[in-house]
Amino acid sequence: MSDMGLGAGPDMDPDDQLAAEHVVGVLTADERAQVETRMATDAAFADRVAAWEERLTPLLAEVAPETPPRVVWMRISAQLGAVPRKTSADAGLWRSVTAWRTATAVFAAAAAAAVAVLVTRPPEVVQVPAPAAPAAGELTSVALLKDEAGPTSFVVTFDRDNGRLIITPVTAEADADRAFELWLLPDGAAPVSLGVLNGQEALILRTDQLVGPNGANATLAVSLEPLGGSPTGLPTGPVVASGQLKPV
Amino acid sequence: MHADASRQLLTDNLARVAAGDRSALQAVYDATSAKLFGVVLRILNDRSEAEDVLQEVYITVWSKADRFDASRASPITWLAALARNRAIDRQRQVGRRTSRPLDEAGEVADGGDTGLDVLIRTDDARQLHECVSELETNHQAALRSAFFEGRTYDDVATLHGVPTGTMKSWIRRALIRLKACLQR
Repeated sequence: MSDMGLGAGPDMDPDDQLAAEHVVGVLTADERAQVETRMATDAAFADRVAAWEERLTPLLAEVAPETPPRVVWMRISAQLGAVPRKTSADAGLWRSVTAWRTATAVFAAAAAAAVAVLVTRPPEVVQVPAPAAPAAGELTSVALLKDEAGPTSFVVTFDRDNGRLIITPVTAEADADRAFELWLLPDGAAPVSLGVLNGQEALILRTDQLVGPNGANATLAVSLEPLGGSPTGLPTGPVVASGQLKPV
Repeated sequence: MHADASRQLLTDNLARVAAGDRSALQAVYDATSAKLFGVVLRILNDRSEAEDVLQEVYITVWSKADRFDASRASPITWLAALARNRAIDRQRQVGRRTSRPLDEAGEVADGGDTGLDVLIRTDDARQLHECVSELETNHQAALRSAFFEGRTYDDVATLHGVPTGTMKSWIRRALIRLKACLQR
């Protein structure tokens, strides 16, 4: 190429160039989506991308580390139990199930039975009213409860699959004679107490009261109450944090 | 800790994560989150967005650690690529918050060693650094703002005040020379 005399070297192989541009990060959203699709189907191209990642990652030694706020790990930790994960063993089992399926009709029936076993939940049966057919991917909701005016915050994870609501204090300090109380705020109805927290330990609740058409989007609040909780059954102290569950 | 030992520890922890060990995920987080937060923050220039992306990254590590193949990639490269890709994809959706002055683009970290730094401040980093420093000054600056800030060709061209075609040519030449330099 004409470039050679200028010391720039020859043009790059187009695939290698595209792989490098993807790793540098200069491609548009559409181009990135195309590259991702191609990586999934073209192993040689995926290898080129991997090679450029190995070449360029050491540059990140120049980026100053920045400690993330503690709330990030709290959010991750609260979410873990609710995240569906496939181990390699599961993947292998699924592959073999698929193989059986394609073999014969007889094996297909056996495979269906195997699938039924796989999707059976652990035998922890909670009294859960049948919700209005939750959409796939809406089995988990999370919320960060906080208040712009104060430092108090809690992370809430609603794990519909296992019928659990997990409330984790992030920044929560109450006076020795007060406790935090968690409330469900239904639309147009009085707050419903869900439980009392001490600000140090996570609280795990069964979610019978939350499960419903809007359970995954429930609004929650935390108020300061006397030890043991509100004597009236309604919030009596200041609301120190609130937020809405959102499906993830 | 010696780089090889750190790398092996991280590889072992990823294998434990793949087997469902939460404490291993926390160990991975403790060793790498400050570095990866710095990386995604640089791309998004918005702390709240960066925190969301960092959360997604480790949730992805939790659910997909079994996809990490130590025989094909280093654990750092795998984690860094995951974080950069998430951050760049998010930046393409929401835009970069405000533009950062150019003179910060090549800022070099001093002190504040994290586990990840121990891993990547190796011969590889030194060689790459040398190869980058051999590039023409404007090509080098363009490549840095593209890589560290995840800017598109159009964006980085505007930042450096040249047409997009010129910027493509700068960065592509820089990549050709880098690859050749690294093979020496």
